[in-house]
Amino acid sequence: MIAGAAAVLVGAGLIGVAMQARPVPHLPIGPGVLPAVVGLGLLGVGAALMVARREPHDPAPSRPDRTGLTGLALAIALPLALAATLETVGVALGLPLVLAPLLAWHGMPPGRAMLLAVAMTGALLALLGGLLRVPLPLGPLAGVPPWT
Amino acid sequence: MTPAALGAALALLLTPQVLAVMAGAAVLGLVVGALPGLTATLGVALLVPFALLLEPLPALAGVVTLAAVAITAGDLPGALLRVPGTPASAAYAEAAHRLARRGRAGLALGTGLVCAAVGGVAGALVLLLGAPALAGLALHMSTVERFWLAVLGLSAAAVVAGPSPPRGALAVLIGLALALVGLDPVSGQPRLTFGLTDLSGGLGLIPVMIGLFAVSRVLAHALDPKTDERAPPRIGPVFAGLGQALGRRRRAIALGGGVGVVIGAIPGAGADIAAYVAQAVARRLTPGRTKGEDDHDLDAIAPAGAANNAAIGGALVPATVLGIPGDSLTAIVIGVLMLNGITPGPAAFLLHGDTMAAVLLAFLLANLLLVPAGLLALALARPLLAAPPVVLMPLILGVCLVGSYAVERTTTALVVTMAAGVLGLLMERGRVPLAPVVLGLVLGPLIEEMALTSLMKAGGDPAVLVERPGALGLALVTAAVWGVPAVRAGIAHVRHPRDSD
Repeated sequence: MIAGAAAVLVGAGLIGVAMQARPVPHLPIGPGVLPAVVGLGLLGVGAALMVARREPHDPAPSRPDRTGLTGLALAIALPLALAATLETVGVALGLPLVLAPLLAWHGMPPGRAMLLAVAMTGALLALLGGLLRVPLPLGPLAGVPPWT
Repeated sequence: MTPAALGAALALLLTPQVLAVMAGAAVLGLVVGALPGLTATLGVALLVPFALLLEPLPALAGVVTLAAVAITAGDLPGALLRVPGTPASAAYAEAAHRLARRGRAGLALGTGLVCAAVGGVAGALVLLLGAPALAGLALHMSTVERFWLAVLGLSAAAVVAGPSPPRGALAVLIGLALALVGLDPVSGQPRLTFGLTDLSGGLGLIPVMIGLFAVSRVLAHALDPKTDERAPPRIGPVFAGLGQALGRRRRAIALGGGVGVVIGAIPGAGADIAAYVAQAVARRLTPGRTKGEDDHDLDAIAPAGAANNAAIGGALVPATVLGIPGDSLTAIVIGVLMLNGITPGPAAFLLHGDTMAAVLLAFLLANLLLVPAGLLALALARPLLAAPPVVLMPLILGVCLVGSYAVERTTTALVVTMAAGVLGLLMERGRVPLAPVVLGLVLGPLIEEMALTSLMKAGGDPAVLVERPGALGLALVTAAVWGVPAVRAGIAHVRHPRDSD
């Protein structure tokens, strides 16, 4: 029911995007064709899901408790904070600051969580930067690893 | 190929230098394929600077070995962590992960490995024996046939992947909607980019795939940590029941190999479509085999695993015979050929016949190497599963974030990854399958480009989409994919109204 309603809303939004697309001069087909087709498809499928009956073997998802919602918020907010600061802070300093609070949230002592987060980050950097030569931002630590 | 030419090619191939490069490329392929976010294409691209320093044959043998092994190693995170290594392995990652949670990861990966090897060998043999004929067939596919083939792949994914076709269709449409982000392929107008130049090239397949499959799992664990404690994935025995599982599915594996070779040979199609179409074809032509949950999941893995690797051989057909790359991987192979002084095309087989034959044999050998390489990867993966979810989940998140950044090199990719993770979590809670989203995202731009190009050539007349016999045939098959289950469900509803409810 909720999935169907969401599909109908998104479908209507895409049809709106399609209607706002500017036609291209001298071309019979414009950039709004596919958004319109996908939007109509979402409207149709959404309507079908809204009228469909819930199957007897279809279990309802469990309701999350407050602890779970806090954990979820942490798991979303920390990576987004990393995205906002990555170019300045770098992976070597930024990633442990994402991983350590998550490990601690799951019950690991804070000191051990920080150590493990630093070790995980070091291993990832060595594998990607050192072995596979994938360039990663290192922030203030640029030039410190032996492969840079 | 004559026996003398085969002997000469084998003599070139079976040298310590070539075999050592192939072994090294196989190890690198294992690492690249097993790390979420790093694709076979990226691995091959990383190998290019080294390929320049080598002779043509070891360089090309290394490239084809890395590609084959990396694609198969992508099954490992698919089964153990539910993070598909490649878009094609998304077709069966969920089935393999379900088996892993029932303690049958060994059987899932063993089946995938052998099917990949069989499919890869089939692709290599076709490449060796029938490349010119298949390349001719592929060249007869116009934009209209490619459009219908992509629509057929999406239809197969929608019908096969979901708990019900409407939910599968919703997943496909979500993928197509995500594919709309970026510049319109015809006019170049920005669409749904919200003014962000980083989104001009689209959302990026890898961040979306990582977010949908891996980050969604981390978020689900954060929401309800007891989920993973109930059934952590276990590898279990690899060979127990493997022979029986493969024997029962020999027809499905053969069908998967055939579908993979043919679809792989069509430029722009490739393994992604092949895996889903192979699943749908095998389900339609080999029904009545499923008995339990394990059988159902193995039925999804076998044909798609074979099609996945067979498509590489198929994609190498137009690449080597005509110089037309079917996908980004074969485009790099063409680049390596040219850097080594071999211009792909019919003349390459005349001027460098022995080298080209040896490269094709190297691809055959690489597919035989898959099984030992995969078993080695399984042995190395066992300690990873011993880690408790409380450690594993943050580690997965770290690998995902770094992997997304490594591929796209923008922090926007991290935001896209997290947004896709939230979308994946919501879809799972709504029982909407994830795999068809990937196919929708991959094929969306192709469908739009092919459809609009065809329509513009015809002055906007939609009849052009069914005028050619091949296009009409594919359109009818697509209609049957949707129509047959609907008609069957309707008949069942009339005969047994209560059961069908």
